[in-house]
Amino acid sequence: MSDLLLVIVFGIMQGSIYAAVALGLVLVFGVTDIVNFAHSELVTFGAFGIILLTPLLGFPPALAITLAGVGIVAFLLYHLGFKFTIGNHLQALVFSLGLVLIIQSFMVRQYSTNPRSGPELEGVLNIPGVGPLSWTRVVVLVALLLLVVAFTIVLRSSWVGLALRATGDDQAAAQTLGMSPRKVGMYAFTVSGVLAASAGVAIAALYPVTPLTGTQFLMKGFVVVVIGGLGSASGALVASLAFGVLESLGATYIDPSLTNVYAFALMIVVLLLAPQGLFNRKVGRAG
Amino acid sequence: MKLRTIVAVAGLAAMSLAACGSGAGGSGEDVIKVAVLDAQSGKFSDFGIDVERGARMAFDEINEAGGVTVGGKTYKFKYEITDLQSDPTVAAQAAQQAVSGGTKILIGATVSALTEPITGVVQRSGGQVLQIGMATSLDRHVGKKDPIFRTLPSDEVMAKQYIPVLRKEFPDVKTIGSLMINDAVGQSILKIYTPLFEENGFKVASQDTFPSDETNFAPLLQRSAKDAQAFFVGYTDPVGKAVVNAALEAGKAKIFFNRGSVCQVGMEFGDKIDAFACQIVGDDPVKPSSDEAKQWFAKYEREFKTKPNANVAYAISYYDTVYLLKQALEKAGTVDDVQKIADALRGAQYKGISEIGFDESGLSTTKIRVGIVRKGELSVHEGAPLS
Repeated sequence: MSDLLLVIVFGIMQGSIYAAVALGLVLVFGVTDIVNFAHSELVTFGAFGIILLTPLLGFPPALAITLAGVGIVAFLLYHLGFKFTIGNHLQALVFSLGLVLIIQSFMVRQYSTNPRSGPELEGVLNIPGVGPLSWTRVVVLVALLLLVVAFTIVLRSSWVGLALRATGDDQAAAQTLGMSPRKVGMYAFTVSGVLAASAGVAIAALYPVTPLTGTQFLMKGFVVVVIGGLGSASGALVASLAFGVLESLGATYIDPSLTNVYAFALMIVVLLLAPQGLFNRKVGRAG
Repeated sequence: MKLRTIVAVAGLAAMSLAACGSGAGGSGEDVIKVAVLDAQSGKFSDFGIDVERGARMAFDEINEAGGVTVGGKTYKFKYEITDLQSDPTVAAQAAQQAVSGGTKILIGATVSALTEPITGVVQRSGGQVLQIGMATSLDRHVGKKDPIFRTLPSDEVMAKQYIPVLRKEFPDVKTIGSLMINDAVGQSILKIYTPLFEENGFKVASQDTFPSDETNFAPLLQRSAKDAQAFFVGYTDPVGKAVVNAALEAGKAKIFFNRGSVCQVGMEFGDKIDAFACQIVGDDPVKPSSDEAKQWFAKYEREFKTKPNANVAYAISYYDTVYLLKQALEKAGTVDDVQKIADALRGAQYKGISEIGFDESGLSTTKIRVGIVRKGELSVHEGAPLS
């Protein structure tokens, strides 16, 4: 029984990282209708930021600079490119793919594909009835859950959150109330950058990171966004956790070589039963 | 007027074709064209950048020392480095372009995905082009009639040099668990290594594979054999590191046999693990085996302004390969006849920074060393002799 619980905890852990990646995607898509593949590079920036800065500055300043820095990068990417592609999906897609190629080539050239690890805590916590979990894993899990809660509160209670939700629901109506879509798009990109950086920091603490790590997590992030429903943050969260647990259980008790199969099989099943995703608010409202 | 122009152009074309055929460079320097094809960007560039530098060092040294003397004539190497951008389509195009431009010697690549397209071009040339590379995919083609060579020994040859050393150094390890990437290379590794482990007294208690983009290794370690005293892992650095991390967290065995040449991963864990073994091809920058190797690494660092990392061991392989190629060209007495050059390579041996060579059928006889990291300290052992 304890083995099963441990595997489920690992799954929730993995799912929380997928959630951190997916929330940024959901936010940007929900507000601007842009599918941003370059989100993977923001995750990579977050991971490399914390890895490179922690030995120089210590963890707290490195974390603050990494989160702020990647947020600024996302802000600049929006202003220098993405804002001109709003309304043209193909253009936005091509632009984001181009960014991925450029940034990845630069990062590989600069940092090679030798794996690097981020800051971690020593020791394991033995949870009765579950088993050993590294302190790093425990802290990352708690931090990511707090992040998701904070994100939800900001989305529901702040003016920025209201603008994001309103523009996501009905851009024209939001515009009549003085919410400029381009300005709200800027908020969405900046916040998604911070979310991506948070995911990157978490990933760096748990796994060896290379310049290609962001892309590995982005694919899974897209799958959970599709399962949860494009534009639905709560959908992405639920889908991420379910997805992570399914992956863990499948890898442990069925066949670890098929973890990608479980992911895409779940996506296909959900899309057959609920083509709009499990929690798609947009389609619900339009109905 | 029109006819005269056509005749003039045809005449020029005929002259330049004749010049290409004879291997002469016209009124300029006599050159031996070599194409170095590997990834300088993208996900495979980590190996490509270093091996290209190794080859370049050798070409430049040879040219500066006067070049290659073939049939009484002196030639300089004219090498062209092409970035394959980690893209198999670009690899095929670049190889074809090199061959269409008259290049008869292709060096590359280090990874199978880029090497196979190049091999296809070489095979379609009908024996007119020579290929020397490093990737595992070349094992299917070497030792046959095509002039194709792999600088690294096959996995079977490497395993036969590696596993007996592990048996000797880890006498108390009786059972191991296997964790390998689930692709063609990983499957091939398991097929070769598993029976050899069993032959050498290691019981393979569990064997699990996972996708190459796997990030969640914790469930994998939960699944692996509880009585495994060591793990056989492969075959990339990120995987090695991730498995070690997951094993430490799960409280599993702390001895790791890496199918790969990176001991650095083991050294990073210091005394958190009991041991980490790896296969050293070329030489290891952390603990060079000779003064010559030490000087070579120092030259590499000066020339490229970067501290040699673990992958620079492969650069030595290409460096020595270029000198072996020089030796073969001089023995063959030709720069054009690819079959004669290939025959000169078969059975050739060269002792440079490392010891490389081929047997009479063209299979690599390169010796490997075995690195074992214990408590952060690397010790290097000679590979077991092949029977």
